[in-house]
Amino acid sequence: MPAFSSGKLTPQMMVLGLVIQQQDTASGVARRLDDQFASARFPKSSAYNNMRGLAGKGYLRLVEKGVEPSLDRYEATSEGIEVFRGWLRHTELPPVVCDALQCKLEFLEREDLVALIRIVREEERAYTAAFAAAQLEVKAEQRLRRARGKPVDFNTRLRGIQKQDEAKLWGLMAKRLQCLGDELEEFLDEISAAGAG
Amino acid sequence: MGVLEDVSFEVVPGEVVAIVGSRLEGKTTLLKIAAGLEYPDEGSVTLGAQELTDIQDRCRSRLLGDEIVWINRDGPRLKVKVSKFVGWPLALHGCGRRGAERAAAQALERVGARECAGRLWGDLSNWQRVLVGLARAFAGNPRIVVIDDLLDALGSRGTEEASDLLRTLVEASNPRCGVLMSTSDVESALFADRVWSLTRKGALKLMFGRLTSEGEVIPFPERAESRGHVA
Repeated sequence: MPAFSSGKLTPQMMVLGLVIQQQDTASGVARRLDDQFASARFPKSSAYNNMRGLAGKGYLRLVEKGVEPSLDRYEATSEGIEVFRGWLRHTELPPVVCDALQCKLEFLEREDLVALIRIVREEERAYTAAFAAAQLEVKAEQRLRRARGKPVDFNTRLRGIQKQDEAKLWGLMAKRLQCLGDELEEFLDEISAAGAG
Repeated sequence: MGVLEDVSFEVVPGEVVAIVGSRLEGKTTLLKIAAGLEYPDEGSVTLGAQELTDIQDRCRSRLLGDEIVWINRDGPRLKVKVSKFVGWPLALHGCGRRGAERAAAQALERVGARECAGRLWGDLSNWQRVLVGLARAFAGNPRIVVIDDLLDALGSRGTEEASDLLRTLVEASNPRCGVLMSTSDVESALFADRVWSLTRKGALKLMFGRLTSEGEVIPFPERAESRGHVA
């Protein structure tokens, strides 16, 4: 029986998945982790620490010793693949929102309101820029799709769906931050007027 | 205080512009003003060199349905067959009954909705309504097509197919027309050339694309800096 099968996203699961995709070293996995999951911003040390941990649990095995530990090459074991498939097919319920702004609102005092509005607006700009960057990729994919016509292979189609979903996530966050910023500004106006009155 | 304030944008030929906003934020009002269906309290709306806010109602009616086409989810007010609904604007603008029927049949064929011709709007599925709406919009040679909420809630696949079809119709239009569409979900705006977000305060914020046709592209910070964090 696999040791864990939670649907929660951890760098350990991503590292395991990347080694299942292809044999790799900690150094190579670190690069792929950063490239393929840029927005998750996993810590730089995730690859090295987790590969050792995964090997210790028997989910990875050493196939080639490198000149230094970060260049040791690993592959996934059948048990590792089973654990990963368990994670992939596991539901993410109950729903979890781990949102810093939600937590900051819980502790907010009146004198913090202006600062919070400023950070909401900064985040809104950053998420809008991320949405714009993702939308560029979605539109590029649309041009390709229209040019080559249907049908397309599994991986190309899946990447297209993933790109669209990513753009939607950024867009929804940007729109949510915009609404939150507007509401907090209206709230500030109200309490300022009440204070002045 | 008005519903919309300091709103300024343009739609250039060949371009799809999306306005994203929640319900009751004034999207339909904004689109109606842009289409010449309503007057703004202040400001102006121009179609090419023609100022829509200045011209007489009679001239404006001539433009509507001909150079400016408005489509939404509501369909026809009267109980008419789809073929008549699609050809109606053409029949009203001197195409003649037969000519309008022919054009409607071609337009329905072009969007893959030929089988809908003899049916009533109320009997159509959501997807068929999208197809029929687009057929009506592009049956003639409009300069601008204004689409209010028609492409909402189609799901990823539906949005993608509708966007591809819209793009094909725009590219085939001669002269090249522009599209202004409103939507309450970001998904429907994913394939637009410019995306504006309508705020609670009735202002527009650019989310994607250029500020104006001559303006700078909105700057995209490098990937690492621009991306937020999804935990």
